[in-house]
Amino acid sequence: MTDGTVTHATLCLDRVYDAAPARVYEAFTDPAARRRWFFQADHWALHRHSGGETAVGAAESSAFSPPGADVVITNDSVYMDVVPNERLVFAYQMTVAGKPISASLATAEFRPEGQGTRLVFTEQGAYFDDPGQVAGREEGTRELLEALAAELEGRVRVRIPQPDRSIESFETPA
Amino acid sequence: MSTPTTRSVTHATFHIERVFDCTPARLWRAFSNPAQKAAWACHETWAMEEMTFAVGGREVAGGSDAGGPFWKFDGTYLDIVEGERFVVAYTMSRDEVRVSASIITWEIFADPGGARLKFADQGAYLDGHADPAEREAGSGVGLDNLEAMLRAEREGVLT
Repeated sequence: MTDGTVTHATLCLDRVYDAAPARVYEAFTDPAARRRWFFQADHWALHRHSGGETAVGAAESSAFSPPGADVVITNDSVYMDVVPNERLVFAYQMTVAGKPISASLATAEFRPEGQGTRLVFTEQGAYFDDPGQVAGREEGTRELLEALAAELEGRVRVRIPQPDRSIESFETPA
Repeated sequence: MSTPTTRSVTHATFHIERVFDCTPARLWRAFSNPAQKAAWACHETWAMEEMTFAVGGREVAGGSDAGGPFWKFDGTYLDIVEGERFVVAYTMSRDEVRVSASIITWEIFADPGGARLKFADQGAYLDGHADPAEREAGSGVGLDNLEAMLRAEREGVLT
């Protein structure tokens, strides 16, 4: 059973990185890099992660938990369109504690800008039951784009969550 | 020498809402049963190649009008709440060139007139190859076909 509501929303975020599009694309898609910035930044715990091929129809499946929490979140995604170094489109669905919370289509465009790259990220999502998820997803996605910046600078972002979000620090991977 | 493709993405969302003169369970079957789905969703010249109605399952259909390009729908079910809702992600290709990637949310509700269908299509239209207005019109034609199938059933006409 659900409470019968689905909220549809489109989120548009972008960030400029001081790295060429091919480098940003590689960090975005490489499985080892993804484990660092996408799954394990900020001390999130990664329980499982499979997939890693960047090809149309290829899937990635993962389960993880926020720092200090037992709740398991899953993310299952499939690539819909792949233009190396230029564009990725993927669909993904997420669950929290076994309950589906959303299904989304995400477009990542890697546009050259000066010596760097403007990553334009568009998420078109269907959010189940709780409309407040939209704001949360936007914030979470923005944090991921920051974690990707740290990855590109050879750092792992370690933000210790604080009510005012004031503390942010970085570690260099061993 | 081929012309390099100019990359672009147009994002668009459209909604369609209709009431069908049947029970919600009957409408659900029209989407979840492969033979039923093929009967209304495939154009006369289209064929359902594969349909597994389960999360992670695929729906693949394709065809072409005489002399026209070969169109292909390649979908994966992302979410299913039995009898109530499902979400499918799909790409459309024309002669093996991907023209769009989209997700559709289908919701079915009980309604005084029968069953209310809510359809939301959130799409990324690629490289100028496809147009949201055409997609919306095409989706409406599909639902017209569904309506015709259900009407024929009510009237006892064999289809």
